[in-house]
Amino acid sequence: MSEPILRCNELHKRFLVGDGVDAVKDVRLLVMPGEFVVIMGPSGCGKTTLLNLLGGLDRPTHGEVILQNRKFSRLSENQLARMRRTHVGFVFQFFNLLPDLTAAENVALPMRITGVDDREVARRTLELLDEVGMVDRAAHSPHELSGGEQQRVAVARALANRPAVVLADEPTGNLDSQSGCQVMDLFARFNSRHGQTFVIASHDQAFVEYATKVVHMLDGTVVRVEERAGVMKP
Amino acid sequence: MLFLRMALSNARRNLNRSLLALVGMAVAAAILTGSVSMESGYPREAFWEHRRLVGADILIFTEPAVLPGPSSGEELSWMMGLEGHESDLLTFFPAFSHQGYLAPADVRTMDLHHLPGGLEHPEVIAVEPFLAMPAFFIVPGTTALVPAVLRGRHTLVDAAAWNLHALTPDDDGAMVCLVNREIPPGWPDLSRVTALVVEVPSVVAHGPGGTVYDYTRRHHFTLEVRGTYEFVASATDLLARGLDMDSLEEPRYLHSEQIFVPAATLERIFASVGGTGGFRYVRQLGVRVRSMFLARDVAASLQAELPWARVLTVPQLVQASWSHTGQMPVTRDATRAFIYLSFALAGMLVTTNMLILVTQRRREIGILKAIGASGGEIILMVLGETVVLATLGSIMGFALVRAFYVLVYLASDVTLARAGLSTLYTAGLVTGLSTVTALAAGVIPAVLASGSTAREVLRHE
Repeated sequence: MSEPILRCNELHKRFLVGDGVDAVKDVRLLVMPGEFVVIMGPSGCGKTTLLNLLGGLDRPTHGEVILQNRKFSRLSENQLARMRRTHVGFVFQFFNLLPDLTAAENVALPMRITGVDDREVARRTLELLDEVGMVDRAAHSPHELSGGEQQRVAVARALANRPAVVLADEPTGNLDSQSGCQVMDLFARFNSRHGQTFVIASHDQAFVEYATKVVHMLDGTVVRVEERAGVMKP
Repeated sequence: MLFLRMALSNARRNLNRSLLALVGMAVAAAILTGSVSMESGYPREAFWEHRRLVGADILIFTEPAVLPGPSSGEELSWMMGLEGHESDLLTFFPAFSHQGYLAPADVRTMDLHHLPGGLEHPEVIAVEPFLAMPAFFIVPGTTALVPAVLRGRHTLVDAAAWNLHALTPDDDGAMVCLVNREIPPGWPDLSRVTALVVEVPSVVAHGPGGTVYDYTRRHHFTLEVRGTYEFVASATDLLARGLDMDSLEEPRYLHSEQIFVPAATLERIFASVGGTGGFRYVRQLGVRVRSMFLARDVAASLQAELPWARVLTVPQLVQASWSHTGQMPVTRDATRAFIYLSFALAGMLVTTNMLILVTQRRREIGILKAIGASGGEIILMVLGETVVLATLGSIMGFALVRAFYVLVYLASDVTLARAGLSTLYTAGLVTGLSTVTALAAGVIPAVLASGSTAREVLRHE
């Protein structure tokens, strides 16, 4: 049996607000390579905080996150940043494309930060934009794109450095149903064709159809993990 | 490049604030440019001051050839970037170039028949009165006239100081001369000719108010050229030029427009052109002393005796002339303080602008951090933006002010090459200081930006 690509043990996050808020409580999670994990739960249950911890954007109060055998607790801030740029991709609810860059430049940005050579950047950018169906909008600025288009570009950006795992926080939360379906299909396609691992936090029940594992959260704790077979293919 | 474009786009988006920072830096750069440009213009002023000082009434020196005579003035003026090579003439005959020469109104002279008693000081070795008359020589083989200074030298007293080897006491009164081994600019090499024809204007009057010459009536004299004299660049000259004397393998010589004749020969010429009573009123005395240790004592006693006279020792002369190459200390310090203040204010404007921009761009910085930009890269990005703003501002300020000064320089006979070099120097200084200011001003916003967390961009809005 293969090693988990991402796992967390006893993960706990307490925010020092008022009397203190335990946003994530002793969460254990295993993500295997190629899995499509969907974290479900009501607003405020700790999904986003968990994703922040899994992506190394935040440090846990205690517990450990291990990504491809790297313990986050042992990494400095700069090492975490380097790890994020090469091993983790993020997709946000509000797309978060940089407004001054074109779609292609947004996709290329993680590769440029990593120091990939120009020719490879150009080739990979074109390939990704093609895969998300945005080649013809490559030179457009984000404000010239619809929400669905922006999110497709954001997905391409998340995949630019071929990360071990893509973390997505409510990726369809700001889209109409049709655009949401397109984005879901995109995730599923990258998962099934390229074996890309996804961890997606969402309210959207439609994601469950694609999931290999569904993690149900409530009040900061994982209340149930549902392993699924017979995933719907795009 | 990508970050630079983002920075520029961001600056464009926040145009008003960016312009404010830009203009602040432009004003600071303009003030610095103006100040530096003025300073490089000061040497011209210093030249005139130096000329005045070279014309000191009594100059006290000790080493042979240390006297920074007119040629030293030449060297200093050369160092100061001036093209004029007329200091000999202009120093001693300021209205020489004008037709119908008149003695300057405020000339005070010293009577060689009644020298100050202070010269009896035991430290004084010799007194070298400035025996000089304006003259023209005919360029051999042509009819061209070149202005010069006919300088009388005591063959015994001055021989050691000026290397007058080719003259002997027997030559005193003979029509002989020496020319400088260093050929002044525009002069032919007179050391190769055997005889020199000079024209000396008539003396209309010679008295305590100086000498008045009539240039319309000139007298011809033929002088046998005996050889050359040398103005060895002294330690003082080298010091003034910022050179180390020990580092020079061979002695350096200074050029001069003076043609040396024995003192009695000058007296003879003086009498031949209408002078009466001998050449007794001189505008300057050189006083050679045993050592510089007591030179100030000699200067003090002479000064007390002749309160109207400018009595200077050579170190004082050099110090004074160089102190005038810049501004007066108080003015200079005030200007510098103003420059620093203006850059501090510009820096504060940049800091404020960048703090606001960083706050506005919190989300953008968060995204960059989320996709893997490190704190160091964020710092570089913000600093890059401040430097871009500051550089643009400084270029604006520099270009506006410097263009004006370049026009002024060109109008005042400074060569284009020299103005260009000076412009490059000023540009380097202004952009360098602007960059340093921008970096200092950008540090706090940059560090704040690098410390901002990426997790907030994942939050739902």
